[in-house]
Amino acid sequence: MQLARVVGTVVASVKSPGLQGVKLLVIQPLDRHLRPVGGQLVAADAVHMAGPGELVYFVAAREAAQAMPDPFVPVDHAIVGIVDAVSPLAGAEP
Amino acid sequence: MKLGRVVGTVVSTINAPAFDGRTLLLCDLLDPSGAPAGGYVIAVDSVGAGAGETVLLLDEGNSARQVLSAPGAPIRTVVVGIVDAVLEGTLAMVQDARSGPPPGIVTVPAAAGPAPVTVPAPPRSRRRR
Repeated sequence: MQLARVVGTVVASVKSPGLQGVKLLVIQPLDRHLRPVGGQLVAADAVHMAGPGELVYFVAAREAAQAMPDPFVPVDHAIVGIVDAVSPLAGAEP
Repeated sequence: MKLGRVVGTVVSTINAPAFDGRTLLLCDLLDPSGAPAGGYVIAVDSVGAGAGETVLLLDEGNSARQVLSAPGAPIRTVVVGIVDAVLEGTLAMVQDARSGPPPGIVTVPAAAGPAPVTVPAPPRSRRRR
C-alpha cells in the first residue's frame, strides 16, 4: 500500500457492468514525506468517503478488487483508508 | 519477500473493514546491506514490530491473507518477521561446482575421510545363444 492525495474525480456514464456505482477518483501517489512521486492514477473508492484533497492509502493489483463489495470487478487500484496521521516513530530514522 | 525498516505508523479511522484493529507500519525498503533501496510500503503488522526495526515484508496477496487469517481482505503487504541479521556471501555452498568458487571466497579442502570402498563390478550376464 502507498500514500496518495485525492486530486480529482472521474465521471464515466458508460462503463463495465461491474463498475456501476463505483466512485472513481484521481489520485497522486506520494512518497513518505508526502511529496508527489510518479504519475497520477484513477482509483476506485472502497471507503465511499474519500474526497478531493484528502490523504489516503491505496492498494494495487488484485487486492484492489478484493476491497470492493463484489470482488470480481475490473479494478486495479482502490483507496482502502483515509489517513488521519502519519507518525514517525521515535528511534526510527527520519 | 523484501527487507524493510519500520519508520512510522499510519493512523486511520475511516478504512475498509478488513483494516479494523490492525496496525499499519510505514516501512522503507532496504537492500540486503541495510541501505535504503528507494521506495516504501505501508504494511499490516503481524509480529509486533517496532520503531527502527529491520523487518521481513511479504508482498503477495494470497500469502498475506493466509498469514492474517483474513480471507477476502484487500491486503497485500504484511510484516512477517523481525530480522536479526542478514549474512551476505554465505551462499558459496550452493555454487555450481563446474563454475568454481566466486572470487574472494576461500574454499577449505575437505578433510581426508576413510578410504573409498571399491565395489567389484557384478559379473556380466551371459548372452543366450
